[in-house]
Amino acid sequence: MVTARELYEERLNRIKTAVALGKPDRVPVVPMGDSFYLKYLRVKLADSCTNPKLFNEAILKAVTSLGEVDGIQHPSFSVYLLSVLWISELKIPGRDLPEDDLWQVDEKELMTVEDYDTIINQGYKKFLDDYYMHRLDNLNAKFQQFVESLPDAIKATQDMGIVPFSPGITTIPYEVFCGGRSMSEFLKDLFRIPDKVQAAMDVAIEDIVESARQFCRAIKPIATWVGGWRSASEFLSPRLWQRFVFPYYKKLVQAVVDEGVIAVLHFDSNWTRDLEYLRELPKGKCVFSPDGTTDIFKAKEILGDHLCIMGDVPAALLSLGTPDEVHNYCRRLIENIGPSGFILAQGCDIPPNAKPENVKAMIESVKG
Amino acid sequence: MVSGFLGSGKTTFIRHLAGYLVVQKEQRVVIIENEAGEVGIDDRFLAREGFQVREIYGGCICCQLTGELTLAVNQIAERFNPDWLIIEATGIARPSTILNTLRKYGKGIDNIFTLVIADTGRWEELSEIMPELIFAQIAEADLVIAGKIDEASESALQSLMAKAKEINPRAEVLPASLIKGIEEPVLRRLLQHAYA
Ligand SMILES: Nc1nc2c(ncn2[C@@H]2O[C@H](COP(=O)(O)OP(=O)(O)O)[C@@H](O)[C@H]2O)c(=O)[nH]1
Ligand SMILES: [Mg+2]
Repeated sequence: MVTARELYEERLNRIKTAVALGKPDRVPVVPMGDSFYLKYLRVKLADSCTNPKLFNEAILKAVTSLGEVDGIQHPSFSVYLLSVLWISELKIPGRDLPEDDLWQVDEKELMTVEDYDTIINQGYKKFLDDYYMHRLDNLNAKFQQFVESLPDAIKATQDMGIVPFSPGITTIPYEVFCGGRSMSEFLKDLFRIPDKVQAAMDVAIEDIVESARQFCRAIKPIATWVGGWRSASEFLSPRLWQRFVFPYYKKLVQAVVDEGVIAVLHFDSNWTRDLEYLRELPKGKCVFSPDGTTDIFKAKEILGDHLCIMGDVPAALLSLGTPDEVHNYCRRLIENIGPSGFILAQGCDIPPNAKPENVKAMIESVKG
Repeated sequence: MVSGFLGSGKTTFIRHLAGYLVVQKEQRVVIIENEAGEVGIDDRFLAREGFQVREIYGGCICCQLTGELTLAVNQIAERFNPDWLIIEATGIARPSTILNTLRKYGKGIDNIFTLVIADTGRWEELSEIMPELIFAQIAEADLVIAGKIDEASESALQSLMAKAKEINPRAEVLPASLIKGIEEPVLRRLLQHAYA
């Protein structure tokens, strides 16, 4: 009889081997499906989405009934994480939406052009504390509640022999400002006042790096997400991407790696154009995790000897396809992107309307 | 499918087009919009439930959207079997991302006609900041509407027309100001294209 501890070590070893670009005994599977798990269990989204403990219980219950996974990306979740990432208000089920509707980031112009000056003149921390308190209804308190719940969620996951892979999320100033200003307004800022935006980014990144370091030291995660959504290559000209996006990822990823933590580049939308640059990130210490939009085969070709790749079963396939289609797609990934330096997962997030039999097929596919 | 960047005038356009189709042409129309209730569906429009596909789904932009959209399309086909289904595409996607999934899993679709509303007022800015997405939206459309010409300089319109010709020579470009409605000749032209 294998103990949970032994199972945990075996699975962790499998994942770590893949991240270090080696060939594990088989490709590990490390899914994430925050809202899907709640839908699957028929648990009300309204009850769990602001209660990290309930969320952790639901994730573990759902994932263990769907198959044998090596790890999970998020041992717990709270919608307030999204509010922190994009300094935006939320539409929360049960409060602003029907109890079982998916939560939404309510992107509008909450951050003003003058806020760039505040950040430059008074510092990012001062700006953010004030913004959380007055414009986001004391967001910091709600976020801290999530952070404080993490150690228990991590332990509960480990106790079941499952690796709580990447419990935290951080991102670059571009994402934060783009969310706070709203994408439409933020692009105008990049056109009209690029120097000011950059000056504010240069101030903000220092504090973001410091917070990421503190998080790594306090929680000691195996990995953490360094996410990219609105800063994808397809949304920005090469010149602007080089100026406002990539240097900040380099800094943030390096800081996470310096803390002994794996950086998971959770990168949504299309990054194919700039894959070459990701070779400048520390070798064998990061995971490139595209969402099904970036050409994952091209990514293997360009990054295969440098970064582990995780993904990328597309959301639409999980919602609309059949278990056979999912199985075939996964086997293609395992054989062509793997068997070395590859972790099987969904692209982005398992969508709430995924068919459970498709998720089961994905998890099962690593066995052959 | 009506594509075009955030704020380019998609909802405004759909409101006029749907009104025209229902009142003048007595067509049965269903709309899938980004923001519930925005188009202002009233009794003349068929699906009063107001099908909705969000621009930002959860926290993501569009990777999760295409599944939800396709499921809505299939439900609409089955329940209403309309003459027209007008889809307001998310402003930050390439039409092809959505079309690929629709073509693969969509049911009851005879023909998909894609038009893009380019924001002539923001043309210079957007073609500098996010050229790839803006050009792809034009390149993948069957018809280009150069909107907001009332807010744009003549040179912006010329530059947009020249670019459209270069990247999508087969598509006609119709300059328009949508603020006061769409002129009847433009609507007739559009229907000619859509039925072609
Ligand atoms: N001046 C002007 N404004 C327009 C025109 N078309 C739309 N608008 C305005 O632009 C804003 C955004 O339009 P909307 O249809 O909501 O854009 P969407 O985000 O693409 O759906 C609204 O305030 C419209 O009234 C136009 O041709 N000229
Ligand atoms: Mg709209």
